[in-house]
Amino acid sequence: MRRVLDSSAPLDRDVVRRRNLRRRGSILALALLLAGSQARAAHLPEWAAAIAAAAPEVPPGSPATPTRVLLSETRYSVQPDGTYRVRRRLAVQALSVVTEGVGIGYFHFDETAQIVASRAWHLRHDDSVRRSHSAPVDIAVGDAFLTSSKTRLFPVDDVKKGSLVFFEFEAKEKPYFLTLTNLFFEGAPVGLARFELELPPGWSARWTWLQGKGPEPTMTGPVRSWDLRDLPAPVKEDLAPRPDEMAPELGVNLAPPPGAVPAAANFSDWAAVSRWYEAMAKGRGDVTPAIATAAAGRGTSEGDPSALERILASATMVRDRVRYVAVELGIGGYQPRPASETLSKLYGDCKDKGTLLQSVLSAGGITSYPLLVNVGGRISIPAEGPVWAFNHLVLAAAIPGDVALPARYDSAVLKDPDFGRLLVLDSTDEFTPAGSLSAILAGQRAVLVAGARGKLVTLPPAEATSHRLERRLDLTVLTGPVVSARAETRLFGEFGRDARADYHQSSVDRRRNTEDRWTRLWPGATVKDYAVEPETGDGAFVEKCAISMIAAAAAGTDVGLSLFPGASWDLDRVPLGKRKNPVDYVFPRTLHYQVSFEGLHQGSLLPESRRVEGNGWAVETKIRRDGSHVDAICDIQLSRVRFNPEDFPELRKFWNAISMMDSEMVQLAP
Amino acid sequence: MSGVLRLLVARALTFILIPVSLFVAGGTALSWAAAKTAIEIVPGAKSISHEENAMTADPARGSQHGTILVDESVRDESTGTETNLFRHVRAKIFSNEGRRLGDIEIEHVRDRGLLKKWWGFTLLPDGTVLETKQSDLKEQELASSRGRAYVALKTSLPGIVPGSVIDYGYVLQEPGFYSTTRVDIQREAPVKLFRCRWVPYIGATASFGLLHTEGLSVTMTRDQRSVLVTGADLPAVLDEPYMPPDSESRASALFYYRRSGSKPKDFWDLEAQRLIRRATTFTKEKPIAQAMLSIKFPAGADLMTKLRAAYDWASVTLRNTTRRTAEEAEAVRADDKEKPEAWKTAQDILAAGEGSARDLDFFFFGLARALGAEAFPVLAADRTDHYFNPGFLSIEQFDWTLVAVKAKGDPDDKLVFVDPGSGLPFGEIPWWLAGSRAFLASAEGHRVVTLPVSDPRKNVSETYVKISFNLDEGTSPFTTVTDNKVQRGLSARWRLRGLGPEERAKELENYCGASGDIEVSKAQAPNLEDATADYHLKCEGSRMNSNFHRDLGGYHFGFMGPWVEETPRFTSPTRTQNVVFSYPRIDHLILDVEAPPGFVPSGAQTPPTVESAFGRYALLISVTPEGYHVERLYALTAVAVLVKDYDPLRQFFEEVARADATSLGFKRAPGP
Repeated sequence: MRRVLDSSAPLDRDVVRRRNLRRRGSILALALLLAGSQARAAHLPEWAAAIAAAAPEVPPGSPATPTRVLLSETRYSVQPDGTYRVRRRLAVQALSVVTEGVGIGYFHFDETAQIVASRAWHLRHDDSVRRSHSAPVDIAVGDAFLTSSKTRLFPVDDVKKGSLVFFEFEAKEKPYFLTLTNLFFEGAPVGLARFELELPPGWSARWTWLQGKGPEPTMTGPVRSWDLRDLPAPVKEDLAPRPDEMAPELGVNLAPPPGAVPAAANFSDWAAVSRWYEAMAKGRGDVTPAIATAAAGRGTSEGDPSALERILASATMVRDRVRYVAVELGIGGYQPRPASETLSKLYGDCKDKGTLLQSVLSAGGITSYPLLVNVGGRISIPAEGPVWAFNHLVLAAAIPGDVALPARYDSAVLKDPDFGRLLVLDSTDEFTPAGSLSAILAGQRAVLVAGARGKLVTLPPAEATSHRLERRLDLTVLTGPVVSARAETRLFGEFGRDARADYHQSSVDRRRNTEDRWTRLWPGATVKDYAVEPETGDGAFVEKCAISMIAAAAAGTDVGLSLFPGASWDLDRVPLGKRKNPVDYVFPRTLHYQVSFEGLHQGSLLPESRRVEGNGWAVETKIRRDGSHVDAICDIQLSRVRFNPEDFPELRKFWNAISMMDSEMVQLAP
Repeated sequence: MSGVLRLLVARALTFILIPVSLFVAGGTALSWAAAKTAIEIVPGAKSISHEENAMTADPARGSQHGTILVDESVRDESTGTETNLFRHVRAKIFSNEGRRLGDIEIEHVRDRGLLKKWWGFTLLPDGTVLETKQSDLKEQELASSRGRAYVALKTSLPGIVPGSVIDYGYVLQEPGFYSTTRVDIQREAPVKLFRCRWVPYIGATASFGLLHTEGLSVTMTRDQRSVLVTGADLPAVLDEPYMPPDSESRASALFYYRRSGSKPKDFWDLEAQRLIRRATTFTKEKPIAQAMLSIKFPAGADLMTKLRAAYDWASVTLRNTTRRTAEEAEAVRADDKEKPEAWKTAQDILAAGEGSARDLDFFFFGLARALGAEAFPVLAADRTDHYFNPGFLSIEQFDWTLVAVKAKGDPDDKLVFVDPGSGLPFGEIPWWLAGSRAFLASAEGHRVVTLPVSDPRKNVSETYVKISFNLDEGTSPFTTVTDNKVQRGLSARWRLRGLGPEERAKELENYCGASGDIEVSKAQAPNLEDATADYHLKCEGSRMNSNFHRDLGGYHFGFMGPWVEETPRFTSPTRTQNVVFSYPRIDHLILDVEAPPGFVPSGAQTPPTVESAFGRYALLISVTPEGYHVERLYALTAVAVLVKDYDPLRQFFEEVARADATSLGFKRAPGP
């Protein structure tokens, strides 16, 4: 599912697949070679001259960022027939001797746009002006296997510290629908970021900030202008969203005057979005004999077990048998391929897989609805003023009223007053079991596609109980004292998803990492009988092994073992002292450790049970002795995901509570 | 150096990193002959054989996702105007991830390349054959400009499920040919049959050879017209920690053209003479004589002492423009009209007080010769990327210039290798060059020399740490001061010098161990602007989770932290590749831990000293009136370890890790 996005900074937001990244660099180099280089003396255009006259001095010494964007401006002039004239202007100042990338202007476009002009000027450090007459270079961008998304690159030569470069692109665009988005992000500090919208008489616009916050527009004649000034340099930190995911993003919904029939679709409400997509997909999900056979094979024919089992089996079949290959050529970026074709070829993208699943379910008498969502960013789809900001499609299967749903599916069930209980199924996500909802989908707003009944819905939020790490260690104390152990780790939700992805990428590396964990904890220990069950009936990823030759650590003059070894390793941490961004854990979680000791001597000292809790977290241990046998449980629950800087002391308390549990020792020998 | 430290010292093992190679220079007068190398590239069988059917995944052998059954190609460049690439791949798919082998991309320049033939099919486990026609290939424009486009023809073979066999091939005609083509014989997955035939252009001098095929079933057959490389049952290249670089870890074939038909010795001799000529032209007598007047040579000094003095003078007097600090780089005026690098001479360098790394090498070359020494330019390869292969007749394989000096008449084993401008002391070269072979140029011709590995006794890191406890905050404040000599810290220093102030400050905090558990309040590396200074790192901070509270009856404290560089870990019981470290070194940690208020040391169990052929380790713990005094001594004396020695190496690091897990005990202080 393609997303429309405008920004001059190269972006890669599709988290579903990341392909061709390695190649992009070499293609870029090749493309720039093709472009050659030509420049002639010239004068700056007025808009650029004004910027040059007011440009700040290049600070002496080593700059904090190599460039500064003085102007990033995109202007959409909507034509009465619903087409656009687009103009993009960019002014960049080189602040450093490191000038890679400064001398290239970018303009993103696809098959709906025709670039009619590409211009560039270079105000050199000696105040001479050169206009670039290099040939523009168009390169394919994005992660799709086949795509019509491109970026035009326009190079300027000989950029040095102090250079000012100006780019201007103009294009005509025939959009599929009348909504716009603009991301105010350049990957550098920006003096003035501006989005302009010019409407013809009778047209109207609604707007909203999809991400971040921005101002109301100013009006000059028919032109609305959203200006953001002094955007700081992006700061990339661990445990924080990417800078472009925090940058302001504007969404605009355009409406033609009553009676006008532009070629592009206009969305008066979310039902209109629903109708548009439904029209796109019309007939594509028809049940063919092959699909009916496949459905029968998945137990979706009459007489088979419960409807729930049929739904889950069908979703798993589509997830596992159809490999993800995105072909986003032209309208193919929005329109699914026929389900019968996806089934015969066994490959497709999210909307192809979703359509096939819908068809298979339909063959089994189960109703389902496509859900259009945005994943990978921090987009907040507005309730009013529909904007196309979707990059993914999942399915919502209606659960018949008489079917009892086990509690483990609660986190993936959308309860809607009009549609009843809907189980959300993402058949593109190869590593999440059917019936679970991944963290990138949880809590997202989505459009439920159901013709005129279509509406905006909110997917169930993420719960700490859905994303669980459960580790069980059964330790036996032998003479020496040497300890042997059996370890079993059960991972649910996002933990399971990550583990499954690792395991399917390389089971050898996964095993090596597991062995590394235990031998790091217990140097010299031997890990054997490693076994994995990638997806159990309850949706867990299960990893088991036996560990022998665990030498008790010398703790002062005592000899002992940590009671909950490595518990503090299971939660990522970052330095907080100088941090400005919030810490974002993405999803809430539960970490559960169950440890038993067999063969402890009677006099061995044990820590006491305790509970520590704070705002949005709790850490609790329960320790019980029965002769030479000890059972201990540690539960760590994080129910909030975001800690703002003012919450860092609270976060530190949480971390310290975990470390404390991790450090508590069981005395094996005095 | 403390007495204990001296005890640990051992000589570095001398295992030389050399690519095993077999190179055959092709003849210049190739004529058509009935080719014994001829192979026919045709589609594979449209059924799954019994042998193919019986194959199963074996992740430990690299076949988790699939096995390459056939990897065949013919690269026909015989016309000199175009390349005809014949390709055939057949693979068995074992996993969902392996299905990606069926996503095919054929890249070429549109309108100039021509896909002359294509086939592709999927064999399902039940015997069904799913064909992909040439018309199913879709063109993706990757880059276009001036009406020319670089495109990829793409298709996904349909219906692939685990257990399927895929088979595809094509003939692609493209204009021209590459001057050098490297073909991997081994892959990340096992290869049952590999065949690669090269038919070079008859009008150019063609060379070819194999790399790292030792122990593998790989043969090379040549006739007058072409060369054929055949391999069978080739194991997968497995990813292992501390393995040689990718290019030196797998079997590959190299096909290339060179400008002349000279024999390898003649080729390298000619390059040596070129290099000597360039160095000699650069080092005019006058500036060298002028420089000599500025150097203060100790009275009665021998040649080596004088060379060292000249080297030290050049290091201090001539700035290396290749290794500027970020501040120095930013201070360079943009409108400097510099003489092109190739035109510069010693006079320019002396006048400017700076020059590129190669300029400084040549300058020292001139000084050394003026002092009466024999001096030779040396070209070396960065062994973290690839090794120098004398059989590959190309100077493009070199990354670095050095200078070798010795007294006239001395044998080559007296050669001293230096890298002027590096900031390293006389007689030291960057570690990523050491331990491998290099090219030495003399007026008489070339010599292949082995660059010596640095002595571990020179690469010493001494770290002083003081730790205390803040009971109110539950933290452990610490200060560390680390002095790193020679190779120790070389990479860090170079990296830090190149960073801007903000990035540098962040990186320094990282070097001081900033993490979720450790907050760094001060991180400094003084004298970074001095290219010849050692690397000093000063840190102040707090361990935020000392896990200490007032109710504790006893307490134990692990002494490890960011002040100790992590030692290598080898979890796998087996190994296929040699182990390669960066450089031998000695780490000496001196740590004083102040007992938490109200507590006294309860004693600690000192682990036994660890000794091996690869290094030594000792941990000394003593109780002091304030708490504990800990000395940790770790010497890594090996640079490269053969696979056969993997087990004892692994055991050495296991014992080191076990000893490092020792913790210090505290108990409640007696009294009121």
